[in-house]
Amino acid sequence: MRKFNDILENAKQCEKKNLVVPQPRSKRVFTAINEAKKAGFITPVLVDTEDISRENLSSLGIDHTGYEFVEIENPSSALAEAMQILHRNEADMIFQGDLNGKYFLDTIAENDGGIVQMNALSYVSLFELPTENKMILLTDTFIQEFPDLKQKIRILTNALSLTDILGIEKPNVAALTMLERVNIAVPSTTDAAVLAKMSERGQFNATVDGPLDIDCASSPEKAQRKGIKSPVSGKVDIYLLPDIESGYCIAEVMTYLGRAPSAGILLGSDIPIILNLKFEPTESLVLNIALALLRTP
Amino acid sequence: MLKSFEEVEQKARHAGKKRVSVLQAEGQEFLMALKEAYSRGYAEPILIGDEHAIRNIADRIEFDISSFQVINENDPKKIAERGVDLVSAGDAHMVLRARIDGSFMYRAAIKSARDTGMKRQISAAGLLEFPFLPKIIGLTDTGINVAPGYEEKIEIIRNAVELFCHLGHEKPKVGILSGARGLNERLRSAEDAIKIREAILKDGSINCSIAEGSCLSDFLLEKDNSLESMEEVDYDRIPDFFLVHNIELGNIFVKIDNISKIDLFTGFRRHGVLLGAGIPTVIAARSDTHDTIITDIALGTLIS
Repeated sequence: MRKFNDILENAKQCEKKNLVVPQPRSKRVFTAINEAKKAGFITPVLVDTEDISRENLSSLGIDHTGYEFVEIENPSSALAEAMQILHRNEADMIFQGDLNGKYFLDTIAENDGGIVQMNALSYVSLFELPTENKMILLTDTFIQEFPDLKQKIRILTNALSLTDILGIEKPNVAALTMLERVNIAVPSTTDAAVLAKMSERGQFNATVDGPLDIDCASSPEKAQRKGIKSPVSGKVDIYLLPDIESGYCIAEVMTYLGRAPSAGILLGSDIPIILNLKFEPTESLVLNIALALLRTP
Repeated sequence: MLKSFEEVEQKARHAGKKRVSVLQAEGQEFLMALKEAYSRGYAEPILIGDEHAIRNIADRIEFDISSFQVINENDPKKIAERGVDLVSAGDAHMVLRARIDGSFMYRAAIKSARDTGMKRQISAAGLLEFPFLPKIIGLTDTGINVAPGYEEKIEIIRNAVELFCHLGHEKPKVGILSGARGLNERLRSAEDAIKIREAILKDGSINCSIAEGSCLSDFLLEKDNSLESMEEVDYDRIPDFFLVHNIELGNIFVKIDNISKIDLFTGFRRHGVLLGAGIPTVIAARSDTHDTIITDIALGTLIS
C-alpha cells in the first residue's frame, strides 16, 4: 500500500467488525463513525443512555439503521460497559470517541479488567507523500515519553508490524536524533547506534540506521557531505523519534506546517484501539478506523 | 514584523554596508554570495581561511578581492577566535559562519563572551519562512544547549526576544512547546513552562508575551478544539517564535523541510543565527547555495 486510498480499499475487503464507542457526543466523532459505517468497515455499537445516542444521531441527520445501541443507566459507566462488551467478544474494536484521553488510556490499561499494558503500546503517525508515491511513518508520536532502549525496540517492533500489514517489505528505518555521530552525552545517539547494530546483525526485518540527523536521513548527498554513507538515506519509510517532545511536536509540525494528510494507529494491543487525537483531522479518523480494521484477525 | 526573507534582502540594501568576518571562507558558494552581497552594497568581507584557496576561487569566479583584508589561517580554532575578535574589537560588524565546523565557532563565541564579562547564555535560533504564514517564525534552541533547564530556557527566550525586537517586533509572542499532549502535565517541559511564565512575568525584564497552550493545536485552533479540517486552522494566531525542550526537537524541527521538499515543504526557507554572545553571527549551512547565503548575509546586516 502506497496511498491512503489503498488503506481504504483494502479495508473494504475485510470482514465488517463491531466497533464499540463509549459515550459519543461530538459531531466530529459521529461523522467519523458514520463515514466508516457507510464504507462498510464497521457496525457501530454505541454505549450511552439510549436517548442521548439516538437524539445525537437524529440531530445530525444520521439514519439509525445499522447502529447498535447499548443502554446504560449512568453515563459515567460507559467505558466500563464498553470494556465488558469487548471481554464478552461482542465487539472487535474500541474507539475513544469523546472521552478524555488520559481517562481513556488509564482505564483501558488498568491492572484489573484492563485490555492493554501501557508499556507495550506505541503510536504511529502516517503521512502521505503523493508525488513520491509513498507513505512515511513517524513513531512514537503519542504514547511513550522518554523510552529507553528496551522500549525503543518495542516501538520499532510495533511499527514493523504495521509496515508488514501495509506490505512495505524490509522497510528503511532512520533512528533520528540531532547528529550523525555517536555522542555519549546524548543517549538518543547511543540508542540509535545500538539499534543500527542490531539491524546489521539481522535482528529486525528492516534496515535500521542511526544515529542520523534529518539531513543525513533524507539525502544521500547531504550524508556524503557530512562524511557518512547510510543505507537508508533518501529512502526512509519509518522515522523513529527520540522522545515524546520531538515525537508529538513533529507530528503536529507535519500536519500544521507541512499540511500533510495524516492517519494514525495505536499498536501493541491485542484488541485494536482507535484514539481521537487533537491534531488529526476528522477525515483521518476514518482512515484510523480502516487501519485498525486491517490489523484485526 | 518580517513577512519574508525577500523583505530581509530589501531592508539590507538600505541598512548600509557592513563588514563581515567570514570564517573559513574558501568555498565557492560563499565567495559567490559575498561577491553579490558586495555588489548590492550591503557587505564588505574580511576573509579568514586558506588564503591560497580563497584567491584561487576568487579568480575563478572573477571576484576582485584586492581591496579586502585576507587573513591566512588554517587552524579552525584560531580562525574562529580571530573572526570573533574582529567583531568584539569593532573591526567587523558581524560573523558569517562559512565552512568552519560549528563547534569551533560556538566555543570562540563563548570564550569571547566570557572575556568581555558578558554573563549570557549562548543559543542558536532558526528563522523559518513558510509561504502560507503571515510572517517569519523563529525556533530556539536549535543547536547549542542539549537539554537546558528552566533557568537556561529563560535566557534562551531572552536572546530570541532581543533578536525579534531587533527585527521590528514590539513585544514578541513566545510559544513554549511541550509533549504533555493533555496526558502528562508533570512532564518536565510542561513544569518548566509554568516556571518560565511565572519568572518572566515577575522579572519584567524580558519584553515578551507567552502564548496560551503547549502545542501547535493549542496555538492554531480555538481553545480546546480538535482539528476538524485544515480550513479552520488560523495561521494568524501563530506565535512569533517557539521554545523547544531539547536539542533533538530543535534540530529536527528546524530542518523539517528535508522530510519532503516536493510534497510538503515547497517554498520553505530557513536561516540560522547565533545569539547571546554579543557578536552578531549568521550560521550558513555548509550545504547552502550562494543565493541562500546572500540572504544569510542580509539577515546579518539587519541584526548587527
